[in-house]
Amino acid sequence: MPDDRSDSVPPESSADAWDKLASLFETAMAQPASTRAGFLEHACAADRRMHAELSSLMAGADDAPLFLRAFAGDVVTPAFLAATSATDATSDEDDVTAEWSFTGRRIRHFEVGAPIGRGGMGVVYRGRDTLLGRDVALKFLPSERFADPAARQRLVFEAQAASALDDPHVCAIYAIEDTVEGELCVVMHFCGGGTLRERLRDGLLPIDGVLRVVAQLASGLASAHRAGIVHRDLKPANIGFTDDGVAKILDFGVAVRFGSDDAPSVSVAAAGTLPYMAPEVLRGEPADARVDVWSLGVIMYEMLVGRRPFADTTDAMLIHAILHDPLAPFERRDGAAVPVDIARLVTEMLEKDRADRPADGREVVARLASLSADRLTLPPRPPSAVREWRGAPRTLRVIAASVVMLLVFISIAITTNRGRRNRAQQRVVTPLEVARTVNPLPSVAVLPFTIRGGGDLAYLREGMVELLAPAFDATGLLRAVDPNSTIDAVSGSAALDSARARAVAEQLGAQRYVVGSVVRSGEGAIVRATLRHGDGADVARAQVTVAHTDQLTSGVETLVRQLVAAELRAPGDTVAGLAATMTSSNRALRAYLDGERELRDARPAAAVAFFTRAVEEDSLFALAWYRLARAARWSEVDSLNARAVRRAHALSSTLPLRLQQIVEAYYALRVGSPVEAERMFRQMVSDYPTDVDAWMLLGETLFDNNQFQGRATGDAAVPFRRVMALDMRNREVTVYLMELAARANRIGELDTLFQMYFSPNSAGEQPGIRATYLAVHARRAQLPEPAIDEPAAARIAMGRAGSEASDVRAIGRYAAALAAPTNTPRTRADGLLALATLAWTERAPERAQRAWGEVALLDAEATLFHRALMMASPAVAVPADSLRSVRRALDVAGTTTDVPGELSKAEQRSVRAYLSGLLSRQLGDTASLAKTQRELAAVRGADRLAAPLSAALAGHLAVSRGNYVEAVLAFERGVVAVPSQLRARVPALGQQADRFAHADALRALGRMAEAERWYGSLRDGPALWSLPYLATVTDRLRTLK
Amino acid sequence: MQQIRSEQLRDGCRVRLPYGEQAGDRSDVQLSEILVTRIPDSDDAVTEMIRRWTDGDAVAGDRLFALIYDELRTIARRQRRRWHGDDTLNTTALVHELFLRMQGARALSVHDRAHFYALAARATRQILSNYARRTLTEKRGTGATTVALADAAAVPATEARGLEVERLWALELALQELQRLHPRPCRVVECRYFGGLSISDTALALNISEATVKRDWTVAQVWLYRQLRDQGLSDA
Repeated sequence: MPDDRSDSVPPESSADAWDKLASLFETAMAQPASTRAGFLEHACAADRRMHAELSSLMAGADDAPLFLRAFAGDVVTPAFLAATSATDATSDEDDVTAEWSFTGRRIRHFEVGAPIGRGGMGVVYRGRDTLLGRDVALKFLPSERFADPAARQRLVFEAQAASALDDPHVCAIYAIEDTVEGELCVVMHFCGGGTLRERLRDGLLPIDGVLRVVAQLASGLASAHRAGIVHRDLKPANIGFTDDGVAKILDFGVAVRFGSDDAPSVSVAAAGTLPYMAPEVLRGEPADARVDVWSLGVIMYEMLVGRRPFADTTDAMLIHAILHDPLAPFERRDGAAVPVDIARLVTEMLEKDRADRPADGREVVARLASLSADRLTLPPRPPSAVREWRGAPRTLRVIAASVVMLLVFISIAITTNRGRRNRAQQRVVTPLEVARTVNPLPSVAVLPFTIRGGGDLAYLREGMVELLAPAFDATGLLRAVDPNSTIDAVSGSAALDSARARAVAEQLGAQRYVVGSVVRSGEGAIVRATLRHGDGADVARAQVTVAHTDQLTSGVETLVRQLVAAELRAPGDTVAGLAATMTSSNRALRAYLDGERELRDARPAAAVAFFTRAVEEDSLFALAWYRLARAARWSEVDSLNARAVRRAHALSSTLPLRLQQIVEAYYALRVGSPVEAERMFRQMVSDYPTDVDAWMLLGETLFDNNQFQGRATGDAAVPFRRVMALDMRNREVTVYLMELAARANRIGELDTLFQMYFSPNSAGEQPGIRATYLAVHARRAQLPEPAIDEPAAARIAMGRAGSEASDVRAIGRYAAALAAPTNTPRTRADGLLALATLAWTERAPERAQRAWGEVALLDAEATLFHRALMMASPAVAVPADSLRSVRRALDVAGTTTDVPGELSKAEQRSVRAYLSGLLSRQLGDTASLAKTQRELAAVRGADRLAAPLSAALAGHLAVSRGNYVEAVLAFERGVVAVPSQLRARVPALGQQADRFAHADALRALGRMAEAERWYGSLRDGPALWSLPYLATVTDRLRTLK
Repeated sequence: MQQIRSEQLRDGCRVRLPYGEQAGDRSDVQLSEILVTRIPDSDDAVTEMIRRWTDGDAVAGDRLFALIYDELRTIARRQRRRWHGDDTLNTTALVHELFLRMQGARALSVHDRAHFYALAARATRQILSNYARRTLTEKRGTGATTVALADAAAVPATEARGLEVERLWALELALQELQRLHPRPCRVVECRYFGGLSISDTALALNISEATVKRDWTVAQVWLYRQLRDQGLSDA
């Protein structure tokens, strides 16, 4: 074992001997080569052995580091890669069986097949009993426990416990075998029908099906309890089905015996899986049969309702819910009613006090039987029809359709018979015929293709995923799994064998998946693809020959339509086409795929260039516009993002459904209403939990907007971490996580994320972001901070600095760098306004005045807005005269034609009115405030700001009239929907004054927790525009405590 | 009613509770070891395990090591794809990714993080030595206890892979020898060579000065080189 303490302890003198040797070595090597020998003679005069040792070591001093480095490349790296290659991948060049895998071995008359599961107590492989000719499951101890006597004993106990039961619903144990190496192996019945966990993951189960399964489980438990055995870890993953659909309880790995002696229960240690653990187990009380009754109750609820009764986001909340919360109501997503009697039984099984539960499995069986004799009888033997299907010869009906298009030849083979059998058996695959009416649509994962015969086609390995996924979306019958999830989920081994493909599809929650190959053929290629159902059965195959790679898009479209049509057994032209999702220009397509690759490799600026080329080649290429918008945002080119997102949105009707939803929601985030965007993204991730893009954008939405809704920006970490888990390659998300780690002062995480983001394998192209986070990291770790002088970098760094004292000081430095006279007017103005903000915050209005004087020459409008904004803050008490003069300037309609950012003229007028209203509030001029508010509320048309800003003014008005209830309501109306794009451009839209007044109003109403959240929102996030509020906010928060 | 201690609840899937646990009762300790072996899915588990390990709880250390070992293999598989056939092993990146993926590790202090990295380096070495041992066993049908290196040069090219494994095993044997004679420099080699740890991280992890790390690293390299060279491997 690897622990230091288990090492044999060397003699006391060993460390000293080494230190002496090492320091002599070091000293000797520091000598010039000519005097080394003499030094050694002198130093080791009394110790010849030391002399010999040192001489022999020094002989290799120059070569050693080189040798070890070469050794790493020649030996260690290849060995490590071989040692960690996928256990079940059988790639050509790599025939080394990964260690610890039993696959391929023979143990007596059992052949070990692929691994099918792993738990703490063992690894389970599929196997074959060659003597009896049946499939079995073989369970071994995990590698690290082969030799552990307690673990072996435990495994034997498990086998004895299960085999003592002899119940049709407890997985049968056939034998325990010893391998040649002395490893233990339990031979069990093989459950070919998967586990309940897989069934649950695929969607709601029909109620009568649930009852059949429950009756079987209760019967299995009843046997165990009769024999005095408590399972203790009953959960869907531990419930298997035979090929015939009979349910079996698996894994008695933590079972204990009770009642064998005089003790009625066992009190050694508690075990289980948290969501299924009974309250008394959490409290550390001894387990008895009622623990299993509880777990079965949770499973029943989950099967009936489609979610767990106490599901919650964190373990702590879950534990609290299990201990204290009542059951969530029995509401199925499909609206079907859960029979009242059943709901009552489940409620009893989930009583917090175990005395109120059915006493054991036997009682549950009895209760179920009494409920409704006709529906709840124990399951009949499997229906004979299923058996017939299984026994039927695999007649392969081949429908070959050859369609000669201009340059495309297609042939399809459909294995109709297998398809039908499959659909009958595995009910969880939604038939495509009904998919049109079902929401969410069934999903399909396109796995990377195998490429043969041409390095120049290598880009198609992942390129085919990018191409086929939207083509499936376009059919309107299937929804493709986000290509990034798929690409990340697949290991890099050259061969994606069928078991692995199936496992990946399952992991991605896809009910169908597609594998295929591209083979070079002259100028063109042959593309083959197979559509499979989740259980691995072929549903359809198609092949397309494209005469030239230029025709790839139309070839892919045909391929997908044929695959889907084949499953429907309908002619291909009845399936909706890919339409204009992609592009007919091969050059645009190639540029798009290159851009995707750059994004994956975290080079957003390069991606921007490629996507720009793609839309230059084909200006109607909606998908490329969308990806351009994303890449532009990542590389901090917001103006480009604005243009691209509008363009993508305008063209989105050509996109398939998934992308339409994404683009729509992204448009809402950037240009429309973020509240709406959040709703849409939440819906998407709940329907498609593996959609990386949707998670990413949900995170971005929360990150950008939470503070404006009185919520913590840190909440965004949840979706971002989900992105990380789904797509480890995603480097965009590391930027956000770095930001969150920096704000939460998690140095270790920041450090690691930073190193990952800028690791040699990944982005090095964003000096601004690199400099920003280097500086942030230095500040947090209290190290000397590198200066940032380059304006683009300083702007990013300034925009991301937080509200800690060291950050605020840094803002001053960045602002000064931006304000340098050599910079462009726009940059200088930004720097000077930031300096003015700092001066105002430090209660030095004269200094702010000087800065404004300079900016006014560059941008009079922005200066005016900024002055008003500062005067509305609590930092400095401003004389009434100054307030009035600024308000007068605001009330004179601006004559500007230069639209800053994305603001229309009408929207600029709204901002003026809003600022004027704020100054009226400062002046105590309620009448003017009311008038301005009325005027703003009356604005109609495309002005996105009039509604939220007039609501905010209504809030301030209500505050000044002492009507806090109304104020809170008005502010809540104002919270909605200032698009992210505008917020980023116009400091006034940070709405600090509103948030502050909102918090004050809540405080006045005694709603302290909410007040705290809203005050807190001013310290959460980039500090620049909140600076004048920070001191007051800190005071207020202190008084709240 | 029993008060629930947070670290017990946060141990992950399988939860170990204090009932029946008595000092000196070996069977209980073993049972707890068996029960809590799944990858924890809550934030504090890893932190807690590290803390217990550094406090001398060998069971926690073993468990953590088992987790790291498994996770490292998973990550290595994934990273391998990311390199697109560019077979350079970036151990530093590997260990960093491990750190991020292990739930709860991110909450570690800089000091504990170094310990964590050192453990990961150890796991890397273990993966390699397990692999070498296993491959050699398969090749010979018996345990690999001695490596005949004298005639290594005579091995035909088709068995190059086998030769590589033998060289790897030779390195492992040399490390075991170093570990037996001088444990500390062997740790340094583990951190630097297998974990890609920087000098300062290694110093943090092993609780020694950076100067010592540098010296140990230099001398241990030479020591290993001599050991391997004496076995006729250095010119391969």
